[in-house]
Amino acid sequence: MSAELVLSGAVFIGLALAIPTIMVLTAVFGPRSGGEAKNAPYESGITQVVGMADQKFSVKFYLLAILFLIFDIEAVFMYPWAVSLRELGVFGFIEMVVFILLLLTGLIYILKKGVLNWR
Amino acid sequence: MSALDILIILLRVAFGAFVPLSFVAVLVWMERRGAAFFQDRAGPNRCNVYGIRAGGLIQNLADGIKLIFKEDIVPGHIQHKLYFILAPMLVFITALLCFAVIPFADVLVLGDREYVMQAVPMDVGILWFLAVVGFGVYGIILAGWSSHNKYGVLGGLRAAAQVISYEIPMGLSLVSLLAVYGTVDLSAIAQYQGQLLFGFIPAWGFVLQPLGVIIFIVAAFAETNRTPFDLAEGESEIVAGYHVEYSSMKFALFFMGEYVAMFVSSALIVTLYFGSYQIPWLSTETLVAHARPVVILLMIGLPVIAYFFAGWIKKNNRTHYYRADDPRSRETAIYVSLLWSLVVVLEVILLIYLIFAAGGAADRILVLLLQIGSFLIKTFLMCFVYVWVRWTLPRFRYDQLQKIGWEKMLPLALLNIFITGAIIVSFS
Amino acid sequence: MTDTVSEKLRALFPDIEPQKVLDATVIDVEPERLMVVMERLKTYPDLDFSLLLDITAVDYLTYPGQQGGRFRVVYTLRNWKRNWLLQVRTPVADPELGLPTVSGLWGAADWAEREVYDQYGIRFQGHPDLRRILNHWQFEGHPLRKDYDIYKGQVCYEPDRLEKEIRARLAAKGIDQSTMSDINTEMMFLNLGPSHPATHGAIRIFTALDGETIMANVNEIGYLHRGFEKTAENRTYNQIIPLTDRLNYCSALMNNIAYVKAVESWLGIEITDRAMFMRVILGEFFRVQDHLVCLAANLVDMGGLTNYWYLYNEKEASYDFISRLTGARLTSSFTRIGGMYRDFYEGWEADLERQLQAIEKGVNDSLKLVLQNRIVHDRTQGTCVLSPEKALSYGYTGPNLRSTGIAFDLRKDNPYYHYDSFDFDIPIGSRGDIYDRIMVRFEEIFESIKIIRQAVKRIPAGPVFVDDHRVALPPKEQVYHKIEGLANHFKLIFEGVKTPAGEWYDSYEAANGELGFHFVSDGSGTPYKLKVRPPCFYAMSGFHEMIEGEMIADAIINLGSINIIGGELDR
Repeated sequence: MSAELVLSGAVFIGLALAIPTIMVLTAVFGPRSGGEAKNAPYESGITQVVGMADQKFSVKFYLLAILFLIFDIEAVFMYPWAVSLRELGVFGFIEMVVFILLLLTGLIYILKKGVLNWR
Repeated sequence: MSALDILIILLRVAFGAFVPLSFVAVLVWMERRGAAFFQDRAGPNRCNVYGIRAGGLIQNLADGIKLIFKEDIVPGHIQHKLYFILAPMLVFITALLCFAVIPFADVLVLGDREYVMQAVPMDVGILWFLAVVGFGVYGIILAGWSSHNKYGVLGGLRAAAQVISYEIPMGLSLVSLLAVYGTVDLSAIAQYQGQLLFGFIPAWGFVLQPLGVIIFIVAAFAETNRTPFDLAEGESEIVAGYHVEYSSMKFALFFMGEYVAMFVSSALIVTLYFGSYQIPWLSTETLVAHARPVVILLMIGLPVIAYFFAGWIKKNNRTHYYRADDPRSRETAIYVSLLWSLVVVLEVILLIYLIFAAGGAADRILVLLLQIGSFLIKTFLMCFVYVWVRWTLPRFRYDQLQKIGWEKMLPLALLNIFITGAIIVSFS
Repeated sequence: MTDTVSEKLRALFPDIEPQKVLDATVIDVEPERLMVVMERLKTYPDLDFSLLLDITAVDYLTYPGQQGGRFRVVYTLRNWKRNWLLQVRTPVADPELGLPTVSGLWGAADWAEREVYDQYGIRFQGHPDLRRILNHWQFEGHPLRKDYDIYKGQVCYEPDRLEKEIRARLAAKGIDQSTMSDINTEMMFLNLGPSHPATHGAIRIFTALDGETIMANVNEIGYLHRGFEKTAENRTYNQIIPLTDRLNYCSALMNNIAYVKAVESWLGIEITDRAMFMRVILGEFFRVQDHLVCLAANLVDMGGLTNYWYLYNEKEASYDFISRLTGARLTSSFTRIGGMYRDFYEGWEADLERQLQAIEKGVNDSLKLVLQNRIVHDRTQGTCVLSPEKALSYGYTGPNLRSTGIAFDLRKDNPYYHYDSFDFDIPIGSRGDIYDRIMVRFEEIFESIKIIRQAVKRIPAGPVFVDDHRVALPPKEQVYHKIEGLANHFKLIFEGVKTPAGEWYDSYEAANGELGFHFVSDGSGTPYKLKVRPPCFYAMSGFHEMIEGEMIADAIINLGSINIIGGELDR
């Protein structure tokens, strides 16, 4: 790493951190007035709520997250392949086609299983 | 490192940090005026400082001041106050950090030194962007979860599921683009687009990747949580989603983060697909070689543009009342005289340049400025597309959004990789 | 027509003597036989009273000369195919024992009986969920009983949790939460409303969510309840007109017309032709306004704010025009019993035509954004489907019923004010989904504009008020110079328009559906009882059936598409 990169990186990240920090600190300018209503979670004006927000979520959200993990890791494999496609030539291309077909099979299986059917 | 090195590093960093910030004001203004334009209404036009309204820009200033001096509520039911405060900062920081690798002009050659015109001159380029933009969703999830509010949780979950779903088509559409360019370095990608295809078509990304550009833009809309993908906020459904419990400047950070993200992703779309800073048919070398005619053209063009602009101001800012010393006519007069004095200053600078400084480093700096202008104009237009789409389309439903991402965009992106790969392999 | 209904009824129940009151046939049934009679009325194919319009009760505590029991429950039924209107009256001996419930026959009876229980304290045996509906859960007493003091307000200090109700609903749908805990997830109970951007008014939609899918839904209304019916019992007939403005405030004048039409038909007053045409023009113009507001709000719930402005800009301009026409923008109270407040201004026809063209342009602009829009289609087609049977059972009327394919419109089926002589169509839907509801409203805008144009061509000159001393104020000349005129004026203002004693029901096709008024008069200038049949109330009572199994976003746009107006819903 060159000194140029370190210096600009440090200054830029420093700025990116400092700007929002200053903005958050402007909270001291605002007035302060407590109140019961301000300290309760908003749920369309109903205070007698059933269940809190920190409950367990529906499993459907997790399915998506797992799906993402699988496909994103597979996408990561493609970046080096893409950049060096010209050197790899036909063999590399066919290999990737096989890989994509495998991916597609998995995708079709998942879609047929109805992971995305919410209703 | 010489003093010049440090100066240029600081200038680059300042550009990278403050241009997105100042564009927030412009974009908010554009959103409001654009919305008003599409919806047959006037938009903000009342806020003023001594009668100067700047076409509604003063409204942003007023909003900013209001938000700073509003009560900042951290509701008592929140248990993780640190995360609650950290979340908006994270959204903002990640949006801003993405801009670090985007080149805004061609490599500046001063003597024997070359300066890459990125805020942080990294050659990992697009990988940095993907890494940081993926991090941005943490801010939203954290906000939703730490708000301890059901709407917030739903909004956070929606945002998370949406962003991760669209990251895959986005990443895959980039794969085929990278195969075309053969590099991940955004500066190199930008330089590549300065070439001409078949001798007359600019080799811009959208020409080389017509399917990829559509997938990428759609995914970019989803990543920035803009309509038609603004389910995370969904103000009519889950009120405001993840930022429902936020107020004052913390809310403003989400708000600004959204616009910074919109600016940065516009800049990235321009960099990848619309020729970055390149002016069509005028590569850096051509411009440097013909600096003098370019300057003369500029000197002729500036007054013409200013004339029409002044006419437009006069037409749109005319008064409807007959009274002495009308504030509107006074405002118009100020704008027009400011505009003409700006033109005069620019003309003088250009004249000085022509007489004294033509050739060498000055030419390169001139081209640099022109390219920055080109980059900003393109980015601005891309931002306008964002506004345009927002005020045209309604919102998707959550499952439809997922279905489009997984059932349509992902296979299309894979198909695009296949086609691109086949063409590249058969030609090389 | 009504002869045949009487004959059919006599054939079926030989000992019941049907009476005819205005359009309605009225029968008196003993409480013991109520279930048998109601079941036959619903299921017997020759009668087929598939639409339960309303259930109300009358408290005869202070009714002059009343013999017998204190309470009587009145069921209003309709056979929409043959336009038969039937009222079934049943005396209630003991309100604590009450009557058997008919909620098994008509879904609409669920909420209607709850309202009767809430307002009169009459219980319905076998009702699945008999609790208060318009008044809050901490309320004591029954406000529409004659011994309830009108000035006695009661404050609600904390909202109802509704947990028991939603768990009952979940159990009724057969959803077992133990399967969810097996995979270590929980159901989320989420309140949408009362203070929520998409509940137009204040309605509480309480949902049980699995992810984003609504598994069960319970609704709470009454946040805007202001005791319209109780107030009406203390005002003269003409003083009630401004109160009716506040029912469906999006089409305030239609309520005025519906109300005065009901009173006039009991008095037997035939208003002048000009007044009739004025009412047609204003009624249809307000129908357009109501649909504009509904569509604009519905599309903004979908996220399309530009549609909102295209429609709302025209609504705003229309209101300016209405203020020139009637003197007020929103709540004009322009009608009087016996005619109109005054004639229109000179040259209103040209302004009206200009406004109609502007509306057509705005609606067409909005249609351009909607008709070919794939997102709108995906969002609205096939979601929140309402079947014709369900719609009838829950008492849906108006555009919501027509979107399911049932072409029932009082303007065609029971014409008043020369509607039979106008050339217009009744747009109907085919599937009863949100898309159909939106499109039926768009089409009705064009049909209403057609009617207005015909009416403007045909409107005759002449007086706008009927020349009848029972309802019309005497001219100022007579008031100041003649004792008869002065006395007449004095009596009309202080005692109100005197109506003959009796009970009657009259209805009008308002923008949202059948707006009916059930009156009980004791012969004085003040109604003894006045009950509104608001179309929204019954639309909302079937809301949970439409959204269960759909997603949050669907529920929100569905609420917009059935056009719930808080003022009318809660009265």
